[in-house]
Amino acid sequence: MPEQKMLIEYKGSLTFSIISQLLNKLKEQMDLLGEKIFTYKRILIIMVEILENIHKYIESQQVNDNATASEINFKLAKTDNIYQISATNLVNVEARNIIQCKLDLINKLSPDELKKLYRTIIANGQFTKEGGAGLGFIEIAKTSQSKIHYSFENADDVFSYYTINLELTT
Amino acid sequence: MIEATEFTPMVSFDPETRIIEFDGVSRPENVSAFYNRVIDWMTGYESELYKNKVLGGKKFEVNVIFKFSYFNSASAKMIYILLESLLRLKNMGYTLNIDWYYEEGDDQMHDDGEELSEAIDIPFNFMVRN
Repeated sequence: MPEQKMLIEYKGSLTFSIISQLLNKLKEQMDLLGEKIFTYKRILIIMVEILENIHKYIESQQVNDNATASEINFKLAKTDNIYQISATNLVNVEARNIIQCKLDLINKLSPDELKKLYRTIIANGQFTKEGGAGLGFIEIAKTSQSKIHYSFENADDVFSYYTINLELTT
Repeated sequence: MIEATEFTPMVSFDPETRIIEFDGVSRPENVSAFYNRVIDWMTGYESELYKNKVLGGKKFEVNVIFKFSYFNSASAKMIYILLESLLRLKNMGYTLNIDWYYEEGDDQMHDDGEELSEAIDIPFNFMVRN
């Protein structure tokens, strides 16, 4: 069995400053591994879009007073030539439905269809109420060139633990 | 001129050379607040060039240099809005010269530029930055 090397593991609240710390840690790890700039940039794009999506959601819900709701569990690991990126956070039913709907649509699209959707949204899309451009998941799918795996685990009647999982082959 | 920070690019405009330049990382905490300053300025510049056109002034070249090392998807939307403004200048008859720099080996940044160039339908000059 190939050995999995954990490069970044973070559990705790997510703020703009924590995102920066995690991105600095990514740069350190890439330098240590002597990774190519192309691979570093691909992981950077995926990490930023995942973490900023979660951060915008947390801020829009104003749940910072609730420690559990603003927490994430983030991991970046490497097995052979595959990087695994995963993040888990708590979302409400409304967000769960939106995420599921967007990811199911994106996962069905071919690379050309993804490109078309990207162009349509960048040219015509409005900023979301959370301040995003609605391009995050498309950017992740385009960059990883693989399906976006996700799951929801019920926490109670309203909230679920949402996990997004990406694999990036170098 | 807007100075660069860890999360935002340097943005400058030289009235002598008419060069608009962006350099650095673009991942602002509030992307609208950051880029609205640039878009407001660009709107003013567009009006100035429109007046120049109406008055029969010389149609000079507008030079834009993008030297991003990274930009997030929300910034991509804002860059596209700026490109729409540049497209209007092109349609007024001004010559556009857009240089898109990327680090050697950073195919991702090259492809991101290509994507924006194709989406707005304006050719970019792709250059490796030293």
